[in-house]
Amino acid sequence: MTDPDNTTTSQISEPLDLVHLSLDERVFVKLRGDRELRGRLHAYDSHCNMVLGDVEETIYVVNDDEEDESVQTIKKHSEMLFVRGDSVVLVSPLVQS
Amino acid sequence: MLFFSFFKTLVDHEVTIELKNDLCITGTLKSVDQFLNIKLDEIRVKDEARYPHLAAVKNVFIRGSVVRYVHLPANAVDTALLEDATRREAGNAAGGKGR
Amino acid sequence: MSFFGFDPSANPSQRGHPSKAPGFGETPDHFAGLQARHDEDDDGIDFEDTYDGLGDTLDETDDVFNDDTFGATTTDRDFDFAGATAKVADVIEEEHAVYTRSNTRKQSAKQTPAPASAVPETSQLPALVPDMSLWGAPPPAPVPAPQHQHHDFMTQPAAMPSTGKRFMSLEEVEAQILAMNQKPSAPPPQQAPRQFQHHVPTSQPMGNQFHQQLPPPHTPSPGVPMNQFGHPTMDLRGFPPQQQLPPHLQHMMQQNQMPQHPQHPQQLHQDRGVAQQPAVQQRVNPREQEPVVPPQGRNQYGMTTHIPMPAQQLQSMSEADRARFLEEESKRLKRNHKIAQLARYNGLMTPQDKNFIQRIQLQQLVSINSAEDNVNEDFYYIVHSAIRARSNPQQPLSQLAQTYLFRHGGRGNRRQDNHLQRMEQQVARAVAAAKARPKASQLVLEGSLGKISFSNVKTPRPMLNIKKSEGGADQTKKVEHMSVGSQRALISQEAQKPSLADRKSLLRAIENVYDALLELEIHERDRSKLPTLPPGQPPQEAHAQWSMKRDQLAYKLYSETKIHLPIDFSSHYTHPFVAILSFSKMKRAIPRVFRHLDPEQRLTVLTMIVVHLDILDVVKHGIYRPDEMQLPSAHREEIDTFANHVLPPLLGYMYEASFPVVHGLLKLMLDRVDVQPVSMTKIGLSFLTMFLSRAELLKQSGQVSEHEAMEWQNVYDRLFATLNGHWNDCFPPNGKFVDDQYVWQFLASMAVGANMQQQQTLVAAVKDRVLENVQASKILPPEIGVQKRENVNLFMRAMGLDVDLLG
Repeated sequence: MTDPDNTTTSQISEPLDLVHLSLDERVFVKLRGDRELRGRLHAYDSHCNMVLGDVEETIYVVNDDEEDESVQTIKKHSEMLFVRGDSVVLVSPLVQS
Repeated sequence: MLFFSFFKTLVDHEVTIELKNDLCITGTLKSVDQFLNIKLDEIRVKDEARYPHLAAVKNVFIRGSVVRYVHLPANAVDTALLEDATRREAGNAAGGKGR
Repeated sequence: MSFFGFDPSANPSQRGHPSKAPGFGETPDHFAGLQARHDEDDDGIDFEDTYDGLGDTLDETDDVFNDDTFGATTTDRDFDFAGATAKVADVIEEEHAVYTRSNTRKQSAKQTPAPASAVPETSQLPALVPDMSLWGAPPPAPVPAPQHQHHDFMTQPAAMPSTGKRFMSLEEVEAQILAMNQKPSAPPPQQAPRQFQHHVPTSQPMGNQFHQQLPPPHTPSPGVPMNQFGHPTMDLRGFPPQQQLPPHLQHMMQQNQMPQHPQHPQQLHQDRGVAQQPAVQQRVNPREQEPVVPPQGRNQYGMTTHIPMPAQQLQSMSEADRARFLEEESKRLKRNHKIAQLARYNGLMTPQDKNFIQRIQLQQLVSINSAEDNVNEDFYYIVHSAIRARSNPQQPLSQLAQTYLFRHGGRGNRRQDNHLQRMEQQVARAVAAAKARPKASQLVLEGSLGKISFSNVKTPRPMLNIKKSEGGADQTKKVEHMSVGSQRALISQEAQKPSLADRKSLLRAIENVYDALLELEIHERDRSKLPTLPPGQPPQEAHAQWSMKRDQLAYKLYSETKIHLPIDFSSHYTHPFVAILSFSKMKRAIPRVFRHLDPEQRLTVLTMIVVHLDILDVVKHGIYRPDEMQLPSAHREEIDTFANHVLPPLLGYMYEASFPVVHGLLKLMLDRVDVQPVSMTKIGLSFLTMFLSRAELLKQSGQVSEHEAMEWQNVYDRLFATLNGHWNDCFPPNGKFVDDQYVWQFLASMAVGANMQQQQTLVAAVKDRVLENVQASKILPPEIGVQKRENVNLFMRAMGLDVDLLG
C-alpha cells in the first residue's frame, strides 16, 4: 500500500510509471525529426500523447549542402502544447540545474 | 479517452496545428473525435506562399495521425485538473489504483 | 461525339438511361418502346440502336443460373413436383399465359403479329401488371423450354392480349393508356384475376403494362415449394405466396423452383380432376358464373387474403362492380405489399434471441448512464465544463463539480488574492488597533495588560507540549494509539529513515499523496449517492460505512504526507514531509490536503513547517547571496508557489488560532530554528508576521491572560533580541525598486508589540530605508510610488508616526 521501500522498486511496474512520476514536473522529450522539447508535463496517456506547458522546442537542422555539415538549432517557445505520441522517442525527467 | 475529453473542452478555441509535414494551420477547433481527428474552421495557413493550394480552403478535417503538435491557448487549460485527470486515467489503467 | 458514345446533340430526354429500361424512377415511360423505333432513322449512334433490349430483362437478383445449378430439365418424376404443382394449378396456368403473352408481344415487334387481333384492344390491355421483380425478374427468353411456349402461343391465340399492339398509332396508344390511367376499370376480364394475383407492388397499378411484355419467369408459381413447406394460411389456389412469406422463405422457394415443363397442365387435370380453372385461361370466352364476393381474411402477418375471383366470375360482373372489385383488389394488394415489406424480417429471431439482445442493450444503457463510469471516461471534460458553466446559477452543479469548484475557487486568482490579503489585513488591523491606543507606547502596553480580563482563559495550551519538543514523535504515538493493525506495520516500516532518499522515491511519495487525495475526493463525492436522512434520524448503515471509509481515506492521505514521521535531529536526512514539500506539485497539493485534515492534523502540518522553516527549500533558497540582485527564476517560482498555495491555508488556520497556539509556535520556532537567516527571506518573514500580528490582535481583543501576555512578552523579547542588528538584512537587495511590502508588514507587526525602547531601536535601524523609500516613492511612477509610501506608512503608523511628519 504505502510501503516506502516498495515505492522505490516494485511499484514501478510499467515504464509509463516513470513518466507518471514526472507529472507536473519538467521533462525532456525527444521526438522524431531531430526535435526536442523541454516543458512541464501536464498530461500523458498510454500512447505517449502529452500536454506540456511552458515548452521550449529545439529543432536541429543539418546544413548538408555545405562541406562542414554544420548543425543549426532553431528554438521555439510555446505556452501550452499537445504532442502526439507517435512522434515521441523518449521522455525523461529534467532535473533542474 | 483523456485527450479526447481534453480536446472537447477546447472546442471553439483557436488552436494551431502543426502537422508532421511542417504545415501549420491555425483555426477554430470545431470538433474532435476519439482518434483525435480534428475539424478546424476559418483556417489560416502559416507561410501561405509555400502552400498556395490552401489559400482558398476555409475549413479542414485533419486526420489525427498526421498531427505533430497542437498549440493550445494556455488560459483554456486547467493544468491541475488535467493532471488529476491523468492520474485518474493512469490509476484506472493500472488496475483501479487511483479510484 | 461524346466519350461514351452518346449523341450529345440528341434530345436530352433520349440520352442517358434508356427510358424504357426499368430502374430509375417508379414509373416507366410507356412510350419508350415506340420511341425507340421512331428514332431508328436518326443520325449518329443511338443508344437504342445498339440496345438489344436485354437490359430490360436483366435483373441481378435473377435466378438465371438456376438451370446451371439444378439442371434445365429436372423433370424427374421421383419428385412430387407435379402433385405439388397441381394444387396451384391455376396459378401456374396463369403464369404460363402471362409468359406466353409477353413472349409473343416481344416477338410481335419484329415478326408477324399474332392473328388474335380480333380481340378488342381495350380488352387486351392489361389493367394491372405483375411486378417482375417478384419472381426474381425474368431471365432472357431462350432459357426454358421454348418449344413449349410456342406451343402455348400457337394454341392459345386468344390469350395474347398484346398482339395487336403494333398496329396502333402512337397517338392511339397514348390515348389508350391515358384513358386507362384515368379509369382503371376496364381490364381484360380474363386477365384481371391473375394479374392481381401476381402483382404485388401496386403503387403504380396501371404503370407496368409494358413490363408485362417482358418475358415472365420461366418458373411456375413459387406456390409449389410453399405448399411443400405447408404454409398454414396459404391460399393455394391463387394468392401469391410471396405476399405471405418472409423473404428468407421466398428465397428458399426460389431455390426450389423448377422449370416449367409441358406436362403439368395435363397433370393438373389428372391430379385434381379440375378442368375448370385451366380452362379459364385458355378460353377467350369463359363460362358465365355468378359473381362471387371474394372471401377475405387475414393471414398470420395481418395481410388480407382472399380467394381470387375466377376470371369468368369477374367477367360476368357489371362494369361498375368490376371496377369496384378491381379497385378493392388493388388496395388490398397494396396493403399486403406494405405489410409484407414491414414483415420482411419477421421470425428471423426467436423470442429468446430478442431477450438476449435486449439484455445486452440494457446492460450497455445502464453502464452508459452510470455517472461514475462517465466521469471515469470523461473526467476532464465533465469537470471542466461544469466549472466553466458555473456562471449559470440556475443549473445545479453536480456534487463532483462542486468539489472541484471549491478547490478551484481556492486556486482562482480572486480567492487567492483574498488569502494573501488576509495577512495585510491582519497587520493593518493590528496597526490600526495600536494607533487607537494612547500615544505613549509604554502606557499602551501597561494599559492593555491592565484591561485584560482574567475570566477568559482557554485550556492551558494543550498543543504546546506536543509540538514543543518532539512533535513528530508524539504524532507517532498518536498514530499507534489509533491501533489499526496495518498502520502499526506502516509506522514501523517507515521508521526506517533512509527510505525516502532519492528524487524518484520522493516523487513516488507525492504521487501517492495525490492518489490518496483523489480517492478521498471521489469518496466525498459519493456522499451524494447516499440516501438523504430525515432530520433527527440516526445515520443509517450506509452513512456509517461511508463515514468510516472517509475517515480511513483521510487517515491514509494524512499518512501519505509523511508528516507524522518522527523528527530525528541527529539524522542528516531531511524529514520526508519537508523533502516532498520542496516539490512544487506537493506545494500545490497542500491546500487540497488541508481541507481533509482535522484541526489537530492541521496544527501538526503547521508545526512541522515551522520547525523546519530554516531548511525549507523556499527559505534556504530564499536568501539572497551577497552579489545577488535577484533570486534565480526557479527559486522565485517555488517561493511564489509556496506563497500562493501553502501559505493561504496556514494563514486561514492562524486566523482562528488561539493565543497559546500562536505563542507556542513562535516559541518553538525560536527554540528550534535559526531565526536570523529565516528573517532574510520572504517566506520566513511571512511566518513571523503571521504570528506577531495574530498575537497582537488576540492581545487587543482581550482574550489573553496576564500570565500568557507575560510569557508572550518573553518570547517577543527573545525574537527582538535575536533579530536586533539584522533588521536591514530583512530587506531584499535593491529594495528601492523591488517589492518589499512583506518586510514593512513584518516591521509593522514587530513595532506594534514593541516597547518604546525597542521602537526607537527599530526606527533607528531602518531610518535610512524609510527615507530611501519615501524618496523613491516620489520618483517612481504614481501607482508604485503610492504603494511604497503606504508600505512605509504602515510601519510608521504602528508606532504612532506618519510619513508625512518626515516632510
